[in-house]
Amino acid sequence: MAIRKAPFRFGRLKTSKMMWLIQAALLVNLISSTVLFTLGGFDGVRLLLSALVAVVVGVAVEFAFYRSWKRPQSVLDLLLKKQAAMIPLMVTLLLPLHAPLYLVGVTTVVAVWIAKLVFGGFGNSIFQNATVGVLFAYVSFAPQIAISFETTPALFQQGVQYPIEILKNALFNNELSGLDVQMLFFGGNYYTAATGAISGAVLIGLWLILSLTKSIDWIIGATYVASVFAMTSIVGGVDLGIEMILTGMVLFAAVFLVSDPVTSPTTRNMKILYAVIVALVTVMIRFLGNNTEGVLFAILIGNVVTPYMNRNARSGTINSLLQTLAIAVVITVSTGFIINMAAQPAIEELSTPLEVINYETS
Amino acid sequence: MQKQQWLRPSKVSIPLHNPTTKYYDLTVATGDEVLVGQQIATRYNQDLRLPVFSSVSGVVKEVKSLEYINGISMDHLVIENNKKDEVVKARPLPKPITTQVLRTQLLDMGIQGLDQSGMYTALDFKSKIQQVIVNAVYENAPFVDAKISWFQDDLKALVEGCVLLSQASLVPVTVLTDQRQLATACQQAGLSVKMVRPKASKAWQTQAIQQIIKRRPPFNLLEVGVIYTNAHTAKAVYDAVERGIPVTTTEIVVLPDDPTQQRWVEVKIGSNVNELMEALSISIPRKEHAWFNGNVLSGGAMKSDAFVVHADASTIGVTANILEEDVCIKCGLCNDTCPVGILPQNIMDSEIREAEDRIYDYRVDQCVECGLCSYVCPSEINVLEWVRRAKRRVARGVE
Repeated sequence: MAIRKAPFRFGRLKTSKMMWLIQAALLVNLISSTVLFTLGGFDGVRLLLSALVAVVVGVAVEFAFYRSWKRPQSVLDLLLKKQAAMIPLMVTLLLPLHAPLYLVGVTTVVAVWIAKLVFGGFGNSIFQNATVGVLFAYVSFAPQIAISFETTPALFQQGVQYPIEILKNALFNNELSGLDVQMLFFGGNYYTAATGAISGAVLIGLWLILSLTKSIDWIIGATYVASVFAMTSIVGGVDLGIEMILTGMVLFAAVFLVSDPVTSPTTRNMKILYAVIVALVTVMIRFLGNNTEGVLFAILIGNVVTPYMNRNARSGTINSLLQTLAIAVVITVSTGFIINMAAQPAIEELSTPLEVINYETS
Repeated sequence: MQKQQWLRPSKVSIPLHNPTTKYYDLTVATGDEVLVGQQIATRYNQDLRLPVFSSVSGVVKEVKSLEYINGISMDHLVIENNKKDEVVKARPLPKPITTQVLRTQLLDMGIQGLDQSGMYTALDFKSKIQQVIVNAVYENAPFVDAKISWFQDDLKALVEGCVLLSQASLVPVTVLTDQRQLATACQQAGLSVKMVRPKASKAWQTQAIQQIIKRRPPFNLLEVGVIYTNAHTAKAVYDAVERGIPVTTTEIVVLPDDPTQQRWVEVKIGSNVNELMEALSISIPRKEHAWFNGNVLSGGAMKSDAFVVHADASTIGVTANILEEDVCIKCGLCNDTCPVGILPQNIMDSEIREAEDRIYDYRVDQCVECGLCSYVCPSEINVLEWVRRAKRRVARGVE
C-alpha cells in the first residue's frame, strides 16, 4: 500500500488565504482605479490617500475594540490574521473620489465598529460590513457624496455627472442615456460614484480570478449579474441591460458584496434565490424608486432575509436545484414584466387624472 | 508498505461497551486467568446479548475507564498478557450447517454488530431482509491506496464469509468492490458483484446502494430490508463458522507525519497505542501533538495517548501539525458536499447556539459520520464533531 494523501488535512484553499486573495483583489482594484481616474483627468492619487485614512482608522478601531475587550491584538496580527484592512478598502472603493477624508473615517468607523465588531468580529456579521457604512454615508452625508456647486464646484463646473445618475435621468425621462458602453467597460472618462466601480473589465477580471481560486462563490455573483441583466433587458432591451450592469455598483457588488459568504445563505439553492432577490430589489429601486443606486439597499434587504433562508434551507439534490432555477427564472421574468408595466408612461398618465380629481375634491 | 504483525502487547484493555451497547455484565473477575477468544463479558443492546472476548491469554487486572473517541469514556477490561497465546478450543460448525445453527453461531461469536458506524447495519436476520450488501472496498480508500490488495491474504475467507451471509439471511448478497480479482472470485462463488470507484466522498456508497435497491436509501437500511456490512464482518463470519474463533485482532494503518514511518499492521484488539508506537519504532513528536483514531475521514481527535485499538478503528494517526481552526465563514461547502443531504453548517451553528428546536429540524440522525464536512472545510473546523454533539443531544432528547 502507499499513502496517497495524509489524513485529516485539507489540500484546498484555506479561509485565511481566501481572505488574503480578496484583499489582494481590492488592492488591485484600488491601484487600477487610481490609474484610471488619473488618466481620466481626475485627482486619482487622492484615492490612495482615502485608502490610507480608511485602513488607519479601521485598524485603530479594531485595536481599541480588542483592547477594551481585554483581548489585545497587535497591529500586525490585526492586519495579517483578522483581515483588518479588508473592510476599510471596500469602504474606500465604494465612496466617490471627492469624499472628504473625515467622511471616509466616519464611514469606516460605522462599517468596522457597528457592522463588524459589535456583532462579534469577522465571521459573525449579519449585515455586509462595508455596505452598512457606505449606506450610512450616502443617507447621512448626501451633500458631500453628490456633485454640487457647494461641495465640488470644480467638478460641477466641468459638468461632471455620475454615470448612474445619467442612466437614472434617462430612465426617468424615457430617453436614451447616451452612455458609452465601451468606456464604461474599460474605464476612463467617467467619474463613478463608487471609485472601485470605474472599470467593468477590471471587476470582471477580478471576479474570474477569485472564482477560479474559489475565494468567492461564483454562483452568487453570476446569478446576481445575470438577473439584473435579464430583468432590465425585459424592461428596456439588451442595450439597457448592459448599461445597467456596467453603471453603479452592480459589478463591484457581484465581486465583493453580494458574494460575501458570511452574510449570504449557506446552501447552493438559497444562494441562487438570494442573488435573485438582491437583483430584484436593485432593479426595482433603480427603475421605480427615488434612490439612484439601489445596490446597497438591496444587499441589506438580502442580508435581512438570509437567516430566514438559512432556517428554511433543505438539502441540495438535482431536483431541488432545478426547482430553484425554475423559481429564479420565474421571479426574474415576472419582475421584468411587472417593472415594465409599472414604468410605462401610460400607467402614469392613467393615474394622474385620479390624483387631480382627488386633489380637487379635497 | 508491507503488512506487519504485532501481536504481543504486555497488556490489553478490551472495551466492554461501545456507543451502540451501553450495558454489560462481566463473566470474569479480577485475578482470573483467561485465554485468547474466551468470553469475558456480555454486552446488551435492547434484546441482543453480544459476547465480548479476550484478545490475549493472561490475568484479568481491573476495569478501567479510557477514552473511546472524541472524549467519550468507556469501561475497558485490562488483561495482563502472559504471552503464551493460549487459545480457547475452537468450535467450528460441523457440516451441513443449517440456517438457524449458523445464526446462533454468529450471535455466540459476537458477529452481530461488528461495525455499525455510518450506514452499516447490524446482522439482524430477524428483520424482513431482502438484500445483503457487503462493502468490500478498503475503508481508507482513496486516501490510503490498497493497490497491493489488502484482502489478498483473506480472499477465501472474505468470499466464503459472503456466501455464509447469504445462507444466514436466505437472500442474495451483493459485493461492492473496486478490485477485479475479488470480483471474479465472488462471481465464481455465485455472488452478485457491483464494481465501484471509491472517492473521497462516501456518497459513492449511497449511490451504489441506491442503484442496487432502486430507491433512495434511508439512513437505517434495515427499514427497507437491507443488511449493509463490510468485508471485515464477512471475514469474521467465515472465521466464526469455519474456524470457530471470534475476532481478536484487527488491521490498522498507523499514520505519523513522517511518511517513511507509516505502517500497516495487524494488532490485538485492545492494544495500548503508546506501546504499539514503541514496538513499531514510530517516534512521537516531542512538541505539542494530536492523536486521531477511527478512519481517515471520520476519525476523531483523542484527548491523549491513553487509548487503545478498537475493533472498528482502521487508522491511528499522530501529528505535530496541529491545525488552528479559522472562523466559520458560512461558505456552505459542507452543506453542498454532504452525501446524505443534511446541512452540517446549519447544524453546527444551531449546536453552538444550543438552539434545540432547530437541531431537531435538521435530521441530524441521518448523518453517516463520513467526515466529508470537516474534510472540505476551508476554515479547518471539525464540523463532524459538532454534528456528532448535535446527534447526541437529539438522542438524549428522544430518550
